[in-house]
Amino acid sequence: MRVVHVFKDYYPPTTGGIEQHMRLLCTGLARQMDVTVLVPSRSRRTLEERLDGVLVIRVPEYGRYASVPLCPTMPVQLRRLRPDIVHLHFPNPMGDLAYLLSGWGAPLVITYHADIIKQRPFVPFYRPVLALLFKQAQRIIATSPDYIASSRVLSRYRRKTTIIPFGVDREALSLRDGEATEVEWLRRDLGRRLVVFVGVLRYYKGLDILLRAMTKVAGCLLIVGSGPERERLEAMAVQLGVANRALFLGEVPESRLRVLLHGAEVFVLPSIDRCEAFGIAQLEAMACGKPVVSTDLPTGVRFVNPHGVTGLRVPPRDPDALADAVNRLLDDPQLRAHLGQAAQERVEREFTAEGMITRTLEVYREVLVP
Amino acid sequence: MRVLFVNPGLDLGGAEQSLILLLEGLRSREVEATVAHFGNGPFRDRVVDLGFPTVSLRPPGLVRSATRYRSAWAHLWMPALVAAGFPTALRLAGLARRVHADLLHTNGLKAHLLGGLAGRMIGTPVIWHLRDFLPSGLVGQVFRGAARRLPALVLANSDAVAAAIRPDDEDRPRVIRLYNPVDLCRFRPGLPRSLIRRELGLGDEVPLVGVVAHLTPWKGHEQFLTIGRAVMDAVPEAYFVVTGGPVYETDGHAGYPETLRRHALALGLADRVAFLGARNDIPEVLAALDVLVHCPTAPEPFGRAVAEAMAVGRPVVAAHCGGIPEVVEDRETGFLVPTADVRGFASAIVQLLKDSALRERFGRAARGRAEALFAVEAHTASVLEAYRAIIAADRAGP
Repeated sequence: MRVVHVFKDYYPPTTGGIEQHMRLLCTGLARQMDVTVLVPSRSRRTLEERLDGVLVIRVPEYGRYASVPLCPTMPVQLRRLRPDIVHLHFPNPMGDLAYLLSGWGAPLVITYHADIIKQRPFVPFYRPVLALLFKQAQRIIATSPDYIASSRVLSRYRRKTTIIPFGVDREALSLRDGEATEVEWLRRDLGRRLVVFVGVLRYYKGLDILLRAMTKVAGCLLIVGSGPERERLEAMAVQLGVANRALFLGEVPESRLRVLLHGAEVFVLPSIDRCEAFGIAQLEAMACGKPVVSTDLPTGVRFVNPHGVTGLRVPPRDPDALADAVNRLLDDPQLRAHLGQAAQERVEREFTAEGMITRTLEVYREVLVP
Repeated sequence: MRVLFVNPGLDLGGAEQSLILLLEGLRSREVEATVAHFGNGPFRDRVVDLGFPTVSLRPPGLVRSATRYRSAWAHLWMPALVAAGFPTALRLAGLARRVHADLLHTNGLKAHLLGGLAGRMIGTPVIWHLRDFLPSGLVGQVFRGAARRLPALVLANSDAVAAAIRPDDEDRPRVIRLYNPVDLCRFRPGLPRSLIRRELGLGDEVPLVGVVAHLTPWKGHEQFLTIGRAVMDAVPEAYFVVTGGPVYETDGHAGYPETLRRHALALGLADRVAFLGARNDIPEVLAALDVLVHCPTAPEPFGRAVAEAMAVGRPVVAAHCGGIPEVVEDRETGFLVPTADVRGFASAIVQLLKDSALRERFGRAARGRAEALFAVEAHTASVLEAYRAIIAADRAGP
């Protein structure tokens, strides 16, 4: 049985949440079936490689329009692969078109990652394609009940929607030999009030709110990730006088990320709008037994981190509330331990990679029944 | 001929070092130089050592401390600088009269404006020695406008800088591209590799990767540390050195060295990285390295450290930005990597660390390129030629 996953990027090189999720899902699925990933190559060539058992085909890209890659050969490629199931990751108009234009009527599964937000002006023109696509889809996968409820598109197709939350690779996050010492050194050197953020530095991540909050937090913030906002945020940290304890670490390798997550007291996800559809980074921290401070967004963000159970939630764009929540956790080791443990248990119950893969396979099996 | 140099930087940054090399070159020529500076510091001391007369312009604090790194102040900067700088420009004009200057040679953005105004007041031609990209926004516009009117000639230290000051469709200002000079005698192959290594307690076999740059945020030291952490995953025995001191007047970034140290701690590099501070023995530091890295986060106009490493015969992994691609020849003398591509940097460095033959080949080619492009004598000759042409044109009258 062959499934073809279609999106606009794949890891490596892209490190965003969806790409990481696809990598984990496809690698897991590849142990049980034939998995191919079809993405643009960001060049004029077709590139093929096998990554952890997954065949990755990158087709030529002739520029991007409104951040949509233009890949005229994608429909042909998709047809040539003769998939038993096509699995689109939404939003990705090129993939949608590729499926419709290929004329290959294999059962269609769509993971609905997020609404179209930034390119909203284009939606009226795109609506007919969307309607056709969602009509043809056998099954839509949503990542949280909260997102279904708050998404206009998704709530319309509730009947054929299955919820499969993202999973996290706990193996990759558990400390290796000798890394416990590194964790100890980190805490010895930078103090025992470490706050960590992980994510691509984009406007909706709310890092300016977090930097403002840090002026009221006696602790050290470790910012993992880079992105278009980095320079502005670094300048802002200098202006706010927190440059010494808001460290922009860039993209650190997995081997160090583990150590940082285990060494921190609190994980923060200060996102400010529904572009943050899930916040996989929360799961990684929770898997390491860390409590999360996140914002009250009607998306997976809220679903992942129930207030007072696995962490604390604050209103978005409220630096004072954010600072209070972080301080509360930094000052209360018992609460921290309690929430941290609950967080870890919740990940093991709800958000494992294995669970996600099993449930996805179930969906595949269902759509293949004639 | 008499030339009045105007240099605002107090430290010995790249621009000042280039000017010092030019002054050394001019010493034995027919040029009588006077150097106007903005205050005491390493630059002025060095000029005094060379035996040139110096004059402090003592500009008001506002003019001195307005740096292009404080972008939030940019809009205040310009009118305030013009107001506060006017008396300084007057003083400069008086000075130029007193020393009977045939022309003014300005070296730094503030000097370009002040010197340009002074030259205009007394009708003396001005040469801007431009070694910076102009700031964006209002300040840049003012500079671009001034560049069309004030200088008789602009010397730009790379094609990238030249292109930024003069758009293709305009014929003013007159621009000559002139790469910065490097002292090819001090920076030479064959310097002892073990001198600095011994100081660090490292053997000759330890893979050593370094960055040489003033500790200002846009030079990308943080990024260097992040790259270092990625290199460590592939070459666990690698060691890293950061060379460079804080800049003389660093309002707002006073704690930067400490921030960097904390960075290294957070990345788990504490026992893998040494901060050497400001050094006078840069040639020896470069000689100890296996690879020099240059990863600024803003476009680098030229990249003196890169050119110096090449002169010492070291391979370079540098950001593909600004003037750097004119200095480094990709895959011949080093590797060029997209500016923020940490993984790209890391894999290029790892490739070099694992291949001593490649390092040697790049190093040899780098020295050859440095000799061809950065010799002090050729640089001085070009500047003299420009002086003569400008003075002749000035005497011929408008």
